[in-house]
Amino acid sequence: MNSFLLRQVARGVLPVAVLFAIYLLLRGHDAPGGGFVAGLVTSAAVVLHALANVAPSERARRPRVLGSVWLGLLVAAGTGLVAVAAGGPFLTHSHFDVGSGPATIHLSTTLLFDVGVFLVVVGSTITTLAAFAGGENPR
Amino acid sequence: MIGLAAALSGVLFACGLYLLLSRNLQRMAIGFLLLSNGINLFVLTSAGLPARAAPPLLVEGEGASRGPFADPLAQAFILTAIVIGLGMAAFLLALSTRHHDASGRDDVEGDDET
Amino acid sequence: MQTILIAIIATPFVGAMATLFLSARWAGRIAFFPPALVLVLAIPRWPAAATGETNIVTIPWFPSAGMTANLRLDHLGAFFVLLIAGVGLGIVQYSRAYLGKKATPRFWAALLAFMGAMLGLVLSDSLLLLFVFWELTTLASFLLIGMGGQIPEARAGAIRAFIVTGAGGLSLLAGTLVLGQIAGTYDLSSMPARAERILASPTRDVALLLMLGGAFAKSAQVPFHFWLPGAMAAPAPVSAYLHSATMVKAGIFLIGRLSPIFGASPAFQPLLLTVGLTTFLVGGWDAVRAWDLKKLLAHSTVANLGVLTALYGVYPPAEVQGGIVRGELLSITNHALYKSALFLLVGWMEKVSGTRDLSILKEERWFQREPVAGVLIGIGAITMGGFPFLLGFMSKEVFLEALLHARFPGVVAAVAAAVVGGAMAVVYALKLCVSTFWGPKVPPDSRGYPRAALSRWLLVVPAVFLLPHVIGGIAPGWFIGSVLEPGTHWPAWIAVWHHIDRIFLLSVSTLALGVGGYLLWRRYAEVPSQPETQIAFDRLASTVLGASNWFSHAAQAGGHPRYLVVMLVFAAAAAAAAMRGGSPPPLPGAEAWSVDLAAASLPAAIVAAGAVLAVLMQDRVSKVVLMAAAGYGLAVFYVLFRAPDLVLTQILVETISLLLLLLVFQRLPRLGADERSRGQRAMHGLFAAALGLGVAALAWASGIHPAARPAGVEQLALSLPEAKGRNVVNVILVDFRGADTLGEITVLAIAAIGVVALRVGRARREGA
Repeated sequence: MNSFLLRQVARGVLPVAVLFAIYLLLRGHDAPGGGFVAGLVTSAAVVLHALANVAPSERARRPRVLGSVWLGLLVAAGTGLVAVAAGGPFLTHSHFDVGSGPATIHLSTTLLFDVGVFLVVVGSTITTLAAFAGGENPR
Repeated sequence: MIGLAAALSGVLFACGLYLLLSRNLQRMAIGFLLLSNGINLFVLTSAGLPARAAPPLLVEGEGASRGPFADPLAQAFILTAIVIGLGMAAFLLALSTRHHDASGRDDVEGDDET
Repeated sequence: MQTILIAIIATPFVGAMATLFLSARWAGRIAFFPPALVLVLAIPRWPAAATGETNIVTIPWFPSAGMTANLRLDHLGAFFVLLIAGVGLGIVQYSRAYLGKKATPRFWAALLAFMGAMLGLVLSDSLLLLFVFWELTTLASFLLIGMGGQIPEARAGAIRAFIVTGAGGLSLLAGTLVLGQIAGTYDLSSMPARAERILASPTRDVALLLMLGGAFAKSAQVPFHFWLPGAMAAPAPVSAYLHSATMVKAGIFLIGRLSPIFGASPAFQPLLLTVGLTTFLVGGWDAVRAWDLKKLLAHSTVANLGVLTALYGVYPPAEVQGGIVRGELLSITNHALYKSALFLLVGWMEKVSGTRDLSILKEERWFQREPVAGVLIGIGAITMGGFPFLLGFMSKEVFLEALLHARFPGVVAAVAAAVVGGAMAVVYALKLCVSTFWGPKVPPDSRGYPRAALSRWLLVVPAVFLLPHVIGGIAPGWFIGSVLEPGTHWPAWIAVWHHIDRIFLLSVSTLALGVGGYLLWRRYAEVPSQPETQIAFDRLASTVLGASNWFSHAAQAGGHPRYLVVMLVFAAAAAAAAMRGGSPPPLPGAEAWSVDLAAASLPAAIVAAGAVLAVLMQDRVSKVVLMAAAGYGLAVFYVLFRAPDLVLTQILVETISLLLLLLVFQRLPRLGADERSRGQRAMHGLFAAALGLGVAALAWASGIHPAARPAGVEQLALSLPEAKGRNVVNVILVDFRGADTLGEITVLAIAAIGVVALRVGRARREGA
């Protein structure tokens, strides 16, 4: 799995995949995509990258990304709590329009919630795969 | 077509269940994944689909008036179910390897051994 | 007002949290503040509350279901708040001196949490909130009796108390739900106005009996009275606080809250009177027979709780003002204070003499060595026995007066029961003070605990608790008529000779009967074995435990295949039962959709072949790849079902799980032939095929029969205007059902943490 070709492909794929994931995340509210899908795309790309570039012995020492899981939960729950602080029920979302005319950008706290979902999915998927890849001892 | 999807969900369910009833952890893992696919298809099928339905993507200005649409609720349920199925499978596999490390076996005790 | 009430409830809980993070010494110091703060908050409210002012604080909880978390501060509630915090303050001080190093932070946390739960209970106006706090007191009591669970007797007592009061709690919950359904509200303060509607309902008695079942269990009424003596394994301050002053009064409090609602019900008063008087007699008799001083106090507590219950059964409903009957607060104060003082003093005696066994103590003259404790126990016993000059006398007179003025059949029997019960109270009061202190021999100085090592707080606290009895006995008119129950009339001065009438004659005969009984006891009593009810209960408990053991062995023998089969058979049966009704017309145009049939046939073939071959192939890599093929085929099906988000998700997840399986399987041994016997395989195959057929049939049936109003339709309509999103699936995930999604990513996070924990633990072991 450590061939030169795979390494080159993986090196090219990772940034593209991450950009694509961000695109999916941003448009998720209006078109297919969203936090779950974007998270899975990123995970798949990171795993491919790791398989191609990292020797088995190093895999065990890869930093765990469990922090991203916590952060994601915090962001998602925090988004809901903002609404509570503002006096509404938990997880009530707010919407804002920035700019005017054709340049209007629609912003919403739903995106923030989706970012939380994204972080949890990325974190848990990669952590899981890394946990199995680390500590080689095939029997 | 609903009939075909229904039959398929039955096939996935039966195959998954057959493997899950085994006491071998590797068969169980494959069975679990097949079973969850079967159940996801079951939910989607039982929500039905109106004739000439469109995906639940609305167009600005028209809203939901230009129907019919596929039921978005079933799709939302299944979307999370797919991802959670993956998480559960990962946990099952972690348990399996732990069990194997501890006992050197890849199967679990059954009726005749306890 | 809202802030004050919430602060009163929250302060002990905050204190409980804080103690967990402190050393035992500091925890004990901190524990002093919550009850003190509660008193500071509550005392200024007392004059208004006592003269009838009622404050209701509305806190919405689940408005669409009619549930609130309303709080109420009225006469009864404020009285209990002061009782709980006031006694609590003394108990904290006493516990510090008495328990020393045994008072762990966990003990303080449980004690303070109990205090908070109790305060919440008496301030709840919503029955649901009351139930929550009710259960919390049960839990805290369990922890406090068990005291860490090292002592078998304490553990058994804790479990017994938990089973009885826990079952009572369930009864209360059931009663609450039934009553809420009848009344259309869960707010206690709104129910009296709807009393007619409640009383007209056919399920009225069901609600009443269930609620009273909870109250009787908590307040140790017959036939649930046996748990209280068992709980005496707890240390003295816990017994004093929970099992005499506060928790066991919760049932009485609930009865007080219910009496304006059910007062006119024909069953209410006779039931309370019968149960109360029976408990009075049974508890009294057990106390007369008891040899362990603490058990004696526990049985006498049972008896006193019987009197409090009976009081509600005597007065006509019209005289019940705000859930309080005349003399009730007097009786509760009287009992709570003298009984907790006596518990604390018995704790002292146990330290000093090394025993609380009356058969040993009655041979010794402890008054010589412990005059102060002797005088204090004497005061407590005098009020317990209902002798003149102290508050207990007033309390007993009120009870007799109430009975004599009542008009109901069997009043003579009730009066007789009161006299006999009162006489027994005299007997055990004399046992407590005379037999403990005035034996023939002076005990040697070497016996017991070194006196100098004991804190003087162990005597100061009970002395403070006994103070109101003396004040109330000297000036009942002021103490009861102005402080406790303003607006009621009481004799102004030591009111022993204020009348020579039937009540007085009854009092005197009660006392005479009691003294005679005591003399008989001294002469003839033998040391008995434990009370029979307790033996019976232990038998019951072991039967219950045995039955549950048998059940779990029967239901959980063997491996997962059997569980799976059992669960699925039940699920299938439930589904079949649900489908027995008629069927709606098929979905219009369901057949028109079959244009997709041609496009569907290829992916369908892939899915089916993948699934079936994944079963049949022996090699595990082939199995995994075939399984993934089925998964990818399913993604095409999602295209046909117009589900673009699902297509993306399915493809990605299938890829990742393929990777995952290959990664993991390389660590596991090569897959051998199926370990199941041929017959087992056939059985499993048949079972799987049958259920698969059922699943297919169910999917088909519900797929072609539309729901009357699919939930998705509304979400389609609301998506743009409400959530400003065009992808309705995503809108549902992040907005309409956001809380669900939050739960789901939490599951995902937990699964990931579980995987890491399982894998890292292994890596550490191997590294070591």
